[in-house]
Amino acid sequence: MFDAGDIATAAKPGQFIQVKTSDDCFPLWPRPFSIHDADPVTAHLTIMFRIYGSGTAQMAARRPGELMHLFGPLGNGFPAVDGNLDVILAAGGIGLPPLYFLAKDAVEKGLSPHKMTFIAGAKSKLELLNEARLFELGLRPVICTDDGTAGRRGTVVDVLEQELAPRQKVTVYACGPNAMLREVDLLLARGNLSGFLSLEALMPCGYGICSGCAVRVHPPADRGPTDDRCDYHLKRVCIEGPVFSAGEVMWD
Amino acid sequence: MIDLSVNIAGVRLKNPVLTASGCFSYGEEASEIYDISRLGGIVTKSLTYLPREGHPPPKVVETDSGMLNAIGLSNVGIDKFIFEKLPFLRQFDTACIVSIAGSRVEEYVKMTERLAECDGIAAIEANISCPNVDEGGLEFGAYREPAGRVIAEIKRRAKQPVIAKLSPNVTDIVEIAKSVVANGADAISLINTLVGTVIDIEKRSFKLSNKCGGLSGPAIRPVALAMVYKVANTVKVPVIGMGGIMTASDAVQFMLAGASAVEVGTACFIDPMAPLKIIDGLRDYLARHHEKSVKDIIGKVRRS
Repeated sequence: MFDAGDIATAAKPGQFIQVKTSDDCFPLWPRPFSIHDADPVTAHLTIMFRIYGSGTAQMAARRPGELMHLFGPLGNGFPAVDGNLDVILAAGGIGLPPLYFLAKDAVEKGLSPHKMTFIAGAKSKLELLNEARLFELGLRPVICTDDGTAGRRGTVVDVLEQELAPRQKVTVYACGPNAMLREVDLLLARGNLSGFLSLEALMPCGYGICSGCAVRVHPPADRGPTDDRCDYHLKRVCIEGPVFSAGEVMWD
Repeated sequence: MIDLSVNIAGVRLKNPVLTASGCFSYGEEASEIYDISRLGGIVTKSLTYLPREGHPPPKVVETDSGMLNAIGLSNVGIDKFIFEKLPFLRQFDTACIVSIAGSRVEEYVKMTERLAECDGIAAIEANISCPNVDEGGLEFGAYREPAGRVIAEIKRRAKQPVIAKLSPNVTDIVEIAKSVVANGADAISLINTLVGTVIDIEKRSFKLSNKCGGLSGPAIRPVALAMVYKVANTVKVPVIGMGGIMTASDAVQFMLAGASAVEVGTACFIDPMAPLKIIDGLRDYLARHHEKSVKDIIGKVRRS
């Protein structure tokens, strides 16, 4: 949790912050983290992370009261949940934090928690992230693990498929590893359903100037001739994302 | 009052800190964060005649004290730049330097002719050194004759001063510098990125889609500094130094080595405020050394 000043006041669900633990040159880049919770009153901002490489290891070593460089809030964020539609939130592993924030925001704006189906999945029980907080919101999350150590056995995509089956019209909000998002996107395309996917990417800058995080999307119909004659168009995850509409991304 | 202004080929810069090409887009994003009029100048993303999407991901990889990029000259193309980006940039009181890149001499020529009709452009930076396109780009910058030839052709049409941006991926950068100056370059900027790569040993594949990319950041600073020193000592035109400048003390090193101005690139990714911090730090350094003007430190490293 950070004492994050204006960043916490301005933060919207689906946005992220760039964190740089020190002025050192290694690791050089700040690291992007989706916002898990932000309180405009206390200016507290929460992220969740797993120690994965040098950046997160350095972060984990920092103690309460120490200073870090924060930059944000960044990115487009999720469109607000429409209470008139059937909504499923699908969180895989480290994709849970921003979807929790989205659900919390919707509940605070008056949406009944029962109108949202929240799927929270992970490889196994130990990797499930803080699902207790979902119950505190009044949600009845569908928990699943790949190995069956908690909740239903199966992936988030398996459970999403089951949940989608009886429904006609539904909007899906998904966040998780890009491999999962790809599967979710295919599922939505098959059912001709709408949804929003929050992508993960390496980001040198986080505010649109380097283009390093760009992903391939379908080119706009009115695109004129290009010098490199690509069959794709590129969008920067940091500033044109991280949330993309279903069907937008060209997966590898 | 400390005078931070410098003069590059007849262009007065309010301070010697510019943002490097490809590290500032066309200014819109940074202008949301701070007043970009405080910068000495900005160098746009390199433009090509037609727009370019650029390489597919992965386009960047972090390295020890640096990073590799293989963006592939993504840009909006000269038309969209002139009609949409340039009017935006004109609102700011900072020198706008337009970077151009091409795979054939005619492309540089056509772009220079288009830019000659435009107001609000302080100078053209000819990127003859991009390592990330298969055809051309670096080929011009890699050898003396083609480097001189493309600069001469640009110079014949240009209404603005022409800055030649040199590649470090050459046997002797001083020879290239002499050639572009002999062919009319009004200033030289260096260095572009160093060609490099990283391999994922588990997947046994390159980490960049383009296999190789350009290395930038603190890792290349000593190399850049030595090249700036050698070139500034040889040519009579102003030199703009860049390569891993993260702080004011890095910038001071480049100026002492002979750079009349500096460009800040990778540092803008790490900290959007880096250019402003460098300007402030430069002023502090001058005050501490009782210098009245930043011009008084250019090339003032002791030779013996």
